[in-house]
Amino acid sequence: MSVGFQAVQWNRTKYIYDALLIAGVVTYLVGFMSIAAAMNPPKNAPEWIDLRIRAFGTCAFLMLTFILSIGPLARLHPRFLPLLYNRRHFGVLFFLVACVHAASMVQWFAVQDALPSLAEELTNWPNYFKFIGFPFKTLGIVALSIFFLMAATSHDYWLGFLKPPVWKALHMLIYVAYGLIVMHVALGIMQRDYSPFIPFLLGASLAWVSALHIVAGLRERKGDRAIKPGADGWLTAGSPQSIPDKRAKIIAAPGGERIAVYRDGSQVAALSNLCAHQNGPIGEGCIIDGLVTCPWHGYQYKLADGCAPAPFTEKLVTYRVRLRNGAIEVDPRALPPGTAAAITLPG
Amino acid sequence: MTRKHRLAHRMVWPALAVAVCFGFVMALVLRAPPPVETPPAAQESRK
Repeated sequence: MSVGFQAVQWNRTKYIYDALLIAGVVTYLVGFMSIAAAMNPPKNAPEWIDLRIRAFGTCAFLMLTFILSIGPLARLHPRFLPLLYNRRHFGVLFFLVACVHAASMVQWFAVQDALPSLAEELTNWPNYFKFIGFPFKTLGIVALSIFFLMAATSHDYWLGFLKPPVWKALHMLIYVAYGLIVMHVALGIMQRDYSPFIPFLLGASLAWVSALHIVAGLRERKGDRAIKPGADGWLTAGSPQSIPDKRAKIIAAPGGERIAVYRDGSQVAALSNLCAHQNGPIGEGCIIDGLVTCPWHGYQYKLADGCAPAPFTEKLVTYRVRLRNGAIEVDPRALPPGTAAAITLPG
Repeated sequence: MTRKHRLAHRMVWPALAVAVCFGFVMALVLRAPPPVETPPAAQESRK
């Protein structure tokens, strides 16, 4: 959090998450290379390197598919939220696996004294106007550059420096990179390897990832439907009992951001639904130890004023609330971040 | 996520899915047919 940046703030959950990740990657790589080598033993150094290229390439592609699935899965069901918690480490590990794939490709050319052929392939400009025959390695290089940018800016230092909206927009480049990777494989190895494995892998990944994002997006659209404001511009959130204790009801202002109306016993407050850390949906979290807790990474804020507890300094935008005719109403005009605006219900 | 990011997601994904699916299908349809292995008997007769 904002008290001071450390390289990585380790805790037991992160150790477990990373241990499982690394174990999964090592198991896949060892399994792939062992089975492939047993079925078709490599005869020389280039064939061994080729095997490594395939193992790391397929591993990276599966990791990317998994990473892209975490976001929409977490939007569709809270049981997937733990996967989101340390997704950045997953992304960095994926980048390292992709780097080994790319480095192995360079090594494959190098051991055969054929590096000029690689340069020629990348600079054969007429081929850039072809579809079949397009220099597919360029697609991989561009995608790897995007992944580098993302891995390099994955730390909270960059999140704080760039601010969440810019950082999030930058990291949405992963979608473009995913498209480039699909075409890198489709115009590369799929043109030479006629086994059904590659088209199946690509098609299944593409269908799965696209469907998940489209379904999650459609579901999110429902949440953006605004409540019609009253004559004085206030929004009705419902009776106090309609807000579950220690949880929030999320409402949307016309054209504005979502508002999380939290209730903790008899205390009610309206906060921005955007966590100050990564703009996570804070209204989908709950109150833990008396603090509103973001479901994404556990950032916490006081209900009374939207301020993070000392020594942290994050603040959320708050909104005025009132109880009128038995219903909680919210003024959608945002107050400055950290403004105390909670009310205590009578009785 | 902000409203703008949600809107961007809703616009980007269908377009990306259609574009990449089209590219993938075209790459599959237009790829060269697999090389036909000549049976040993045919090779013998050619000799």
